[in-house]
Amino acid sequence: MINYFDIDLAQAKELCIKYEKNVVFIVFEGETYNTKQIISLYNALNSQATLLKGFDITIKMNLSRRKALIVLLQEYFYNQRQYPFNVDIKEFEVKARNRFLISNRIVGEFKTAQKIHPKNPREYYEDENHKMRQYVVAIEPLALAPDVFFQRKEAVESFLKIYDDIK
Amino acid sequence: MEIKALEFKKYKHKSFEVIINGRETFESIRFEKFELNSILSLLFSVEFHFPLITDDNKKDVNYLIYEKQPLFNVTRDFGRNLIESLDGHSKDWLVDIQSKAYTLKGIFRNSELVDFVQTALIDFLPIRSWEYGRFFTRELSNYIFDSVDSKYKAYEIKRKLEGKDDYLDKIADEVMKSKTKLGKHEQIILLILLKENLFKSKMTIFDYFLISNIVKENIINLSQNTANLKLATNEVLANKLNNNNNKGRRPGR
Repeated sequence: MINYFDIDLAQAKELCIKYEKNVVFIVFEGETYNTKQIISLYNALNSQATLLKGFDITIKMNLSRRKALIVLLQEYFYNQRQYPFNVDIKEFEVKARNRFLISNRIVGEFKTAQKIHPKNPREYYEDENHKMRQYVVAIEPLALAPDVFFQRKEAVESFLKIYDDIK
Repeated sequence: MEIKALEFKKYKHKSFEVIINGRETFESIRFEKFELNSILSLLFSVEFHFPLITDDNKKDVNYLIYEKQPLFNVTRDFGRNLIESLDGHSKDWLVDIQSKAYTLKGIFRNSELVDFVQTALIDFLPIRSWEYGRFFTRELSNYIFDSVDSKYKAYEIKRKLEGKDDYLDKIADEVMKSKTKLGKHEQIILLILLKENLFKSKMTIFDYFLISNIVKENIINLSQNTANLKLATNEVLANKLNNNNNKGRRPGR
């Protein structure tokens, strides 16, 4: 998603024309369409990111703090059974801000890696159904459109396993 | 969970002004479902346009909550449709929230409600924002192309441009020539608005993304300038792409 830009009418027109020549049109007026189609539309937009070259546009996605940290923790620790003791969340917050536009101002209880993106979530949320539910909702869009959010593709497979296990 | 395209419907809305009427701000209230959904839709609007509330934008946030500008309500209605379309765990979460009591004081900063709006609604926007763009474009079109006359003029221009590769250049030229004072974001919105109403089948997902992002950041300016946007549209339509400027009529204020 384009979040900051300072383009003018002429540049916008040029971009619209470029996309018109390269991107599928939205023609499913009046139809219902499914997750896959929505994702493929998004990918169509994203895959043309090179079209934005030369324009003063930064593509950063809006994401809440917890979700952004889930993405990064998954990418860094996907192949480890437990988090190391010394995971510095502040460091990950910096990484998160570089990659995403963090929109949520509330930190709440999400202060450690395990609280943000628990290893063995079933065990971790054993007696806390509502927290488990919030966790599932939090990882849902990431699992539905992993290509949109993850840069390290090798971290995706185990992420989808987690989602399939708890959804 | 499946992400389905939103089918837009009108839901019963109660404005915040009416909700607070006759109630104590510190009283713990269990709201009716539609009341809480109305509040959540306003909170969606706040979180969407003002993810960071500062001293500078507090006033704007209040404008939004008290629905002082019709354009704000477009975001509110989009949020409401998102809320009503939830299913699976998100829906369970919503039901859970609806069963609890809240105080009116600080309800738009209530961490449980903010967390829900962020996690279950706002965080889906990276893959939904073009839908917002489309919704916004159509709502704004209803306001701007509100007469048979404007629709007929749009049709005439469409016939002139049909089949021409440079149709968007021509439309952009007209927007550029407009004597109505427009900011550069409004010019872009006008371009896409005209494209939507003249050549709907050529709309791309990018057009809607662009609109969505402009509106997200500039809702205040935009809502103050909708009258100008309408004026400029009528000006472009009245010109009918006649390149001779002398013939172009300029609508009076």
